[in-house]
Amino acid sequence: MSIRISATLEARMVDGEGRIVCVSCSHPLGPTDQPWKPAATLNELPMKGAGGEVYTAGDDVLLRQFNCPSCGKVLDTETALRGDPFLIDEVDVSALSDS
Amino acid sequence: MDPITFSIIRHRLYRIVDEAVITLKNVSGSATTNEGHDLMVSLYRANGSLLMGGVGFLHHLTSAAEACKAIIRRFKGDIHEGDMFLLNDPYTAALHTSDIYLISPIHYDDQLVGWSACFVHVYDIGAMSPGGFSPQSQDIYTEGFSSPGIKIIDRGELRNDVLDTLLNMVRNPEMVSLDIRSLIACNNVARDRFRVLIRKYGEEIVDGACMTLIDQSEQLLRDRLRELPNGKWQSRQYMDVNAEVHRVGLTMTKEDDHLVFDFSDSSPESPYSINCAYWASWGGLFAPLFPLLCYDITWNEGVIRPIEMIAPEGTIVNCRRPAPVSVATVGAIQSVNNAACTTIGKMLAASEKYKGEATAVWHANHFAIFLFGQNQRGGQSIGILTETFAGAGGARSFADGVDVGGEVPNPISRMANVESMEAAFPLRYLFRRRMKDSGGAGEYRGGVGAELAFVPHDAPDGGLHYVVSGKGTQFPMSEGLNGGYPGAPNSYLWVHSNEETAGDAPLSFAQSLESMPGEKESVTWGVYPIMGRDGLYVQWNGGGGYGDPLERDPAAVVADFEEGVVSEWTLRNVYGVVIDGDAGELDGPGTEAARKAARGTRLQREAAE
Ligand SMILES: [Zn+2]
Repeated sequence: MSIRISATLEARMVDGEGRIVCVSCSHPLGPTDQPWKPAATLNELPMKGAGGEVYTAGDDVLLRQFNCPSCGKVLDTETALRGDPFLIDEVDVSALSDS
Repeated sequence: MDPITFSIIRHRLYRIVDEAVITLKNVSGSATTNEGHDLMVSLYRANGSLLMGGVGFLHHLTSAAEACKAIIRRFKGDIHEGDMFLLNDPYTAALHTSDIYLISPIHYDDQLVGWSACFVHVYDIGAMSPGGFSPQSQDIYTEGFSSPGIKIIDRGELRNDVLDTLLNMVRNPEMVSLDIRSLIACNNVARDRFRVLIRKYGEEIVDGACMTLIDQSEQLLRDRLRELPNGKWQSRQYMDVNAEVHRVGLTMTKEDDHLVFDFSDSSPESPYSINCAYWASWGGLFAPLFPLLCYDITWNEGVIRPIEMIAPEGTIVNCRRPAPVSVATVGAIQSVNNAACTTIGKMLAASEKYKGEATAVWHANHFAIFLFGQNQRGGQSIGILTETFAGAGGARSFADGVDVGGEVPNPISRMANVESMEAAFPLRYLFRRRMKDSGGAGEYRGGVGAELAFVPHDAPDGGLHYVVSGKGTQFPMSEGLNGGYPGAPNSYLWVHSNEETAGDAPLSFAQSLESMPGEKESVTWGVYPIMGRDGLYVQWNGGGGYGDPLERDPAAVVADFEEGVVSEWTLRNVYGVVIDGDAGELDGPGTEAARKAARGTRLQREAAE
């Protein structure tokens, strides 16, 4: 059984423990009761020029790409001013352990 | 009640609003209203609660309900058949002073049976800057005429003393008068048609249908919410004004059939007029909620019942009088729209059933430039560049965003033809076209925004002035979804093209920003001239992308490149696509290798921890 978390992530039982995993490659990104972003690789691109010359952003503005450390797929992105905390999303996956 | 009668009454309510909108557009003489569709009409129950939300700017649907309730409180015992009330105070219910609510009680057999309310962004409201957006204002007192509720029509008789008082305080009173009369006509039509409906079916049956409709909407939304996963989703919007950064931070929590929007993580109220008051934020979160969660549910009080908002007083999303708010609709309110669009999109994307309804943020940043000055006929013109309504679609889980595709908060937004703008103002467009690379990259690309430039033309004063209250040149605001890039930011450039900087090179035939001679100065906030040989260049944001750009169909990337909406640099460096240098054709194996290498580079990064 798995529970969808986003287009790129789902929750699954791995060795009897609830884990958030990459949908593409099944790589585990930590327990379901903790934020998954710290387990991803982080690519912090300067927003200025990130998508071509028209991205005329300030120097401290970042495009954060959280990537799967196993297959390299982008799992999520966020715009952030340098130093601002990661956005945290949590989906209730308690049904996983109930099953 | 039999289902056929219920259905007929429901459709008649839709049609009443439709006909009222047509009336509004046809009577108003302002391009903002009849070209840009900066308007709204809705019906309300006798207690002021939303009965039938109409089209136009959706953040007004709930705010006008609060306006009806404010009128009920203020005029208790003095509300008569044929009355009409005006309200535009943002600290009572309105979004900003320029968006005047005209509110009409609907009576039948001497009983109050409902309300009709509508708004337009009036031609002028007497703020410091013409057109209503007032970036130089430091408080509400300098943002023009503002009323917490005043009777403008008394038992069918227009109170000229009241209207003349308003017109005495605004620029172009004849145009403002036309705006007010368009609102009156709109309410007249809505009121008359509603009364015809009651005459035909009887008050009890119509009221019964209305209550059923509201209960039905509540039930349908609660059922839908129960189908969606429980959870918490966050989003954040940045607004830069004069190098100061402001945030709208949102945590949306969904539990069972209940949604809470918590904006506690937002900046303190700003000295700049991008703030918004409480009811404006409340309206702001519903603008994406209606179309994204209630696309098949009637927009009424029932949709509002399962929703809660936390917006601490003294923040940019619940500012205190006398904080300035004239730019709210394209400031904090629009960021509330965007933030709510993102969290709702994330929630939908987490659902197997509803993932196809998720969208990245559309057109997150109105540039809202107001032009003013003497026109080619010797009169005075004030008006918005209606291109601000043209927008760009956010990408979805199955399709690209629509290029120059409008915005979520206003399903009928649009822009005027270039010729309409040139007829209204002494200026000439050099170009207006889709903006390369402005759509957020992704497996599905955000719709691109556009760019335009114009110069003064046949201007008795040598040119015009304009008000720019633009944020978001330092931050892209149309957030991507599920790994997509945000759309590109806005840009506003004053092209100084005097003989000193540009020599004899003529600006008047330039076909691109690069070919515009002269110094280019970024302008974002205030009032500026466009005179003589100078030009104004504006670039507006694209929609957010959806998914990993390295997963986009390479043929689609090449097609975008050939169409001129994606540059060769972006094709190569963001999408990892390789084309044959001479023929420009897709190099399949080269692309595969480039994408593999790009993924490999990502793997070498450090953990986010
Ligand atoms: Zn993976």
